[in-house]
Amino acid sequence: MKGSSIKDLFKEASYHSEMKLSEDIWRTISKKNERLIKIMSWVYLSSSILSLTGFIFIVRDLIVKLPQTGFYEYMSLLASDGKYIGTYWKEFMLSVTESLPVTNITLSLLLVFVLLFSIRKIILRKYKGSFLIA
Amino acid sequence: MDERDEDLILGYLNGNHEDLKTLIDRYTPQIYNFVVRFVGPNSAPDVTQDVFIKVWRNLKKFDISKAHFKTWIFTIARNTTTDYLRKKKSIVFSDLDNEEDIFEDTVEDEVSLPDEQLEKLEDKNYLNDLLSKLPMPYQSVLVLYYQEDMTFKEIGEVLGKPLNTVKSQHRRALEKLRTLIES
Repeated sequence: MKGSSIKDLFKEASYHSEMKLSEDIWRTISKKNERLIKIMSWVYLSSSILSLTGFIFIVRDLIVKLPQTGFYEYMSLLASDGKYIGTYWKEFMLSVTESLPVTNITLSLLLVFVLLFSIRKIILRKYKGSFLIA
Repeated sequence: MDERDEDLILGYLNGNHEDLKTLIDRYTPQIYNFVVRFVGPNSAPDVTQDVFIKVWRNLKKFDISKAHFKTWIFTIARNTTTDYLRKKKSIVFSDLDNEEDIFEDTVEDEVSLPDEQLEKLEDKNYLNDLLSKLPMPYQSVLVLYYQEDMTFKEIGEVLGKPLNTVKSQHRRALEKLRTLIES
C-alpha cells in the first residue's frame, strides 16, 4: 500500500514536455533523413557509374592482354591432350594460374562488387525510405 | 490497441516510417521527464531530441532478442545527458559509483516512507524540489523505479551498475529523502 502510494506521488510529480516536442523531433529527423538520402543517393549513384566505367575499361584491357599471356593455348590443350592434363593436372593448373592477368581480374571483381553493392543500396533505399535501414 | 515496441521497431525496419513516429510520440514524455531533472528545462528539449536522433541512427543495430527497447532508449538518454553535463563540466552519473559498490546482498528491497512524510510529498513541486537536492544517481534510481516502473535489474542495465548497487542506492535515496523532509 505504502509502496503504491509513493509511486502515485512520484507519477503525479512527472514533468511534462510541450505537446509539440515530439512533433518537432519527428520533423527534425525527417529533415535529416531527406538530407541523408540526397547525399547518399549521389554517393551511390557516382560509385555505380565509376565502377561500371572502370569495369568496362578493365574488361577491354583483359580481352587485349589475355591472348598475349598464353592462356588460350593452355585452354586448347584441354581439347587436344586431355589425358596428359589429367595426369599432370597440378602443373597444368599452376601454369594456367600464372598465365592469368591477376591484377585485372581482381580489380574487375572488386568493381563488380562495388557496383552491385551500390545498386542494392539504391534499390533498398527506394523500398525502405532511408539509407540507415537499407 | 497499442502495438508493442518490438513490433513498431520491426515495422520501421521494414520501411514503415510511421512506426518510428509512434515510438517518438510514446517515449518523448518519459525521456523528457528523465533528462529535464539533470539538464534543466531550457536544455531538456534539445537533449531529448539528441536522444531520438541517436535512436534513429542506431535502431538498425538494436537487437530485439537481447534487450528491451525501453531499457535501451533510457541508456541512450543517460549517456546523452552525461555527455551534455560533461561538456558543461557538471557532475556525472557515475560520481558515486565507487562508494555504492561496497554494498552487498543484505540490502532490503522494500523501503518506503512513513505516512506523515508521504502526505508532505503530495505537493508535487515540493517533491520535485526535494528530488533536485538528491545526488544524480539517487534521482535516476527513484525516477526510473517510481515513474517509469522499471525493475532494479532494468535500472542496473540503464545505469550500468550491479543489481545490489541499484538496490542500495534506492534505499539510500529514500533515506536521504526522509532526512530532507524532516529538515
